Amino acid sequence: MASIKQPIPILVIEDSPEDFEVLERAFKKADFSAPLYRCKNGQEALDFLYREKIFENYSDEDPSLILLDLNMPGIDGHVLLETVKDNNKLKYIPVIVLSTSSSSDDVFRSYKNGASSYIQKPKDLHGYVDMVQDIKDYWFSCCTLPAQRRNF
Amino acid sequence: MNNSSDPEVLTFRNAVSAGDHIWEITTFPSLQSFIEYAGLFSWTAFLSILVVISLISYFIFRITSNNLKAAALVEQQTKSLREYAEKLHETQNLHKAILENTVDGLITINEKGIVQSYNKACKKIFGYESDEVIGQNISMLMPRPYRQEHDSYLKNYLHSGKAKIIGIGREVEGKRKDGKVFPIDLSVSKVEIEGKILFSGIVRDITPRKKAEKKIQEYTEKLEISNRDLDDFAHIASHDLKEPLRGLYNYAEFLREDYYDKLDSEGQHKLDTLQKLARRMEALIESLLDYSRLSRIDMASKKTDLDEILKTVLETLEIWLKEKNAEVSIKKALPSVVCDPVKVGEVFRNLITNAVKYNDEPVKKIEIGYIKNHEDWGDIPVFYVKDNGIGIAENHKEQVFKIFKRLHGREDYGGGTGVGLTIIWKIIERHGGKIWIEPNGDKGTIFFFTLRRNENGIH
Repeated sequence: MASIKQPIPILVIEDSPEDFEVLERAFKKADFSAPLYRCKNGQEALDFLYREKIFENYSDEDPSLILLDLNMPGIDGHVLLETVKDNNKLKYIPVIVLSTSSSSDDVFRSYKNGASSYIQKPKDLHGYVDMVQDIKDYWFSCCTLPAQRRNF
Repeated sequence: MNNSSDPEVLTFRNAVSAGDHIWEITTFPSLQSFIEYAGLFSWTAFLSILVVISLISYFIFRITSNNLKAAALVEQQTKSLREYAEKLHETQNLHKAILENTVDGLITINEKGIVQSYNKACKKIFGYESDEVIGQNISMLMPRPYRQEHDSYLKNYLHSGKAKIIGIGREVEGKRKDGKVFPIDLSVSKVEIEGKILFSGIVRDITPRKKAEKKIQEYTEKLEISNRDLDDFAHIASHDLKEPLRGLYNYAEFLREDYYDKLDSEGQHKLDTLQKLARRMEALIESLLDYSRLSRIDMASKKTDLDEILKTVLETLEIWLKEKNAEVSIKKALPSVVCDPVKVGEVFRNLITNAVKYNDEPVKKIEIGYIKNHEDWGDIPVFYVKDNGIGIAENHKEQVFKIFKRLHGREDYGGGTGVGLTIIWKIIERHGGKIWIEPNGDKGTIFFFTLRRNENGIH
C-alpha cells in the first residue's frame, strides 16, 4: 500500500451547499486532509478544468479525483462526465458519481460514459463519514492514482 | 203404348221421372183381361194418379230438403270465411301497428333499392314523411359515399351474393332531411316473397350511444393522464422533498456535534425530537417513493416456485422470528405460479412480519398455505397467511390497505409508516389478483390473496 505523500486536491461538483458542507465535515471527521475544490455547477466545473474565466490564473494542477453530483441546473452531471471523458487531456482523471438517484438508468449511463464508480449519497453524516473513509482507503491507499500530466 | 207380337197380349210401357229416379212402368194386360177389367178402369186411373201424386210429393220433398241443406252449408262457409277475414285483418293490423310503432326504424326496399315501406320511427330518425320516401331510392337517406355506392352494391349483391351488411348488420351513417349526417346501426335481412326479393332494414339512431362512448373514452384518457401525472408527481416530489429534508437532518446533526454540550436537557430533547421527526418524514417519503415506483415499473412475469420463495423469505427472517417467539408452519408446499418473484417475496415477508408484529400472544403462530379449488376462484390458487394476533375489526378491513393509515399509535406494535399493506395491495393488483381479510375464528386474522386475474369474472 502506498502512503499519501502530499495532499492532492479533489474536485467536488455539487450544487447543494448543504450536501457540500456535510461532505466537508465528513472529510474532516475521517481525518482526510486532501483539499477540496468545489464547483457549484457543470459550467463552473468546465471553466475550472479548462482554466478559463475566473480560473485562468489558477495553478495548473489537475484534481486527483472528481466527485460528481448528477442532478444539477444547466450542464448536469451526465453531460459534464461525457465532456470530461471526451477530452484527451482530462479523461484520465477518475470520476466518482455521487448522486441521490438510485435509478438504474442513471447508474448505467454513468458507467457507460466512463465513471469510475457510482455511489448513492449516504443518508446522513455518519454515512458520509463511512463513505469518505472508503474513498480514502480505496483510491488513496489501495489504488495508485496517475501522476499529474497536465500540459496546457 | 206398344203392341206385342201376341195379338192376345197388350203391353203398356211408360217412364216417369220423379225424384232422382226414372220410374219405368210396364203392364202386360191380355186383351181378355183388358176387356174383363175395363170396368175397373176408373179404379186403375185413380190408383195411377195416387202413385203419381206420391211420387211428385216425394220429389218435391227431396228438392226442398236438399235446398235447405245447401243453404245451411253456404251459411256456415260464409261465416267461417268472414271470421277468417276478420282474423286476417286483425293480424294485419297488429303487424302493421307493431311495425309502425317499433322504436327502431323499419324500411323495406325492393331489389332496385326503391322504398316499399317506411315506419313511424323512421320519420323521427330521418325527418322525412313516409310519402316523401316511399317510391324513392333508399340512397336519399344516405350521405356520401354510401349514396353513390348503394345501387352498385345492391346489383353486386344480387349478382354475386357477396354481402357487406345483409345478414350481418353494422354501424353506418344516415342523412337526415335537414342534411345532418348521423351514426346508425343498420341490420338488413333479405326476404323472398313469391319470387320477389325485398330487403328489410332495421335502423337505430346511435348518436346518443356514440356520444356516450366518446365521453367514456375521453374520461378514460383523462384518467390515464392524471394517473400518470400523479405517479410522476409522487416520484418527483418525493425526490425533491428528500434533499432538503436530509439537509435538515444533517444540520441538526451538526448542531448536535458542535453545540450539544452547550444545550440544557430540554434543548437536547428538542434537538432529538427534531431529528426523529426528520427521520420519520424521510421514511414516509421513502415509502411513497416505493409505492409510486410500484405503479411505474413493469412486474416481472415468470414461472416461480413459491415454495422456494417462501423458504428464502423465512430464512432471512429466521433470527427475528426466534426473537419474537413466532412459529411459522407451512400447511402445504406452495405451487409454482407465474408472477414477479421478488415482489411476491415482499408480499410474504410483509404479511409474515405483520402477523408477528400485531400479535400479543406469548407464542405467535402463523400458518401459510393455499386453497386449491376455491369456490370463487376455481383453479386459481388462493394463498393465505393466518395468525393468532390481535385481529382486524370488520370496519377497518378496507382502511388497513390505505397508504399511511395505521390503526395504532405511531410507536405501538413496533411502529412503521403504514405503507406495508398498501404496497402489498399494489403488488397484488399489478398481478391482476385480489387481497382480502377474514377473521381467524375469534383470534387473529387470515389474509387471502391471489396472483392472477379471475377470468370467470366473479371478482
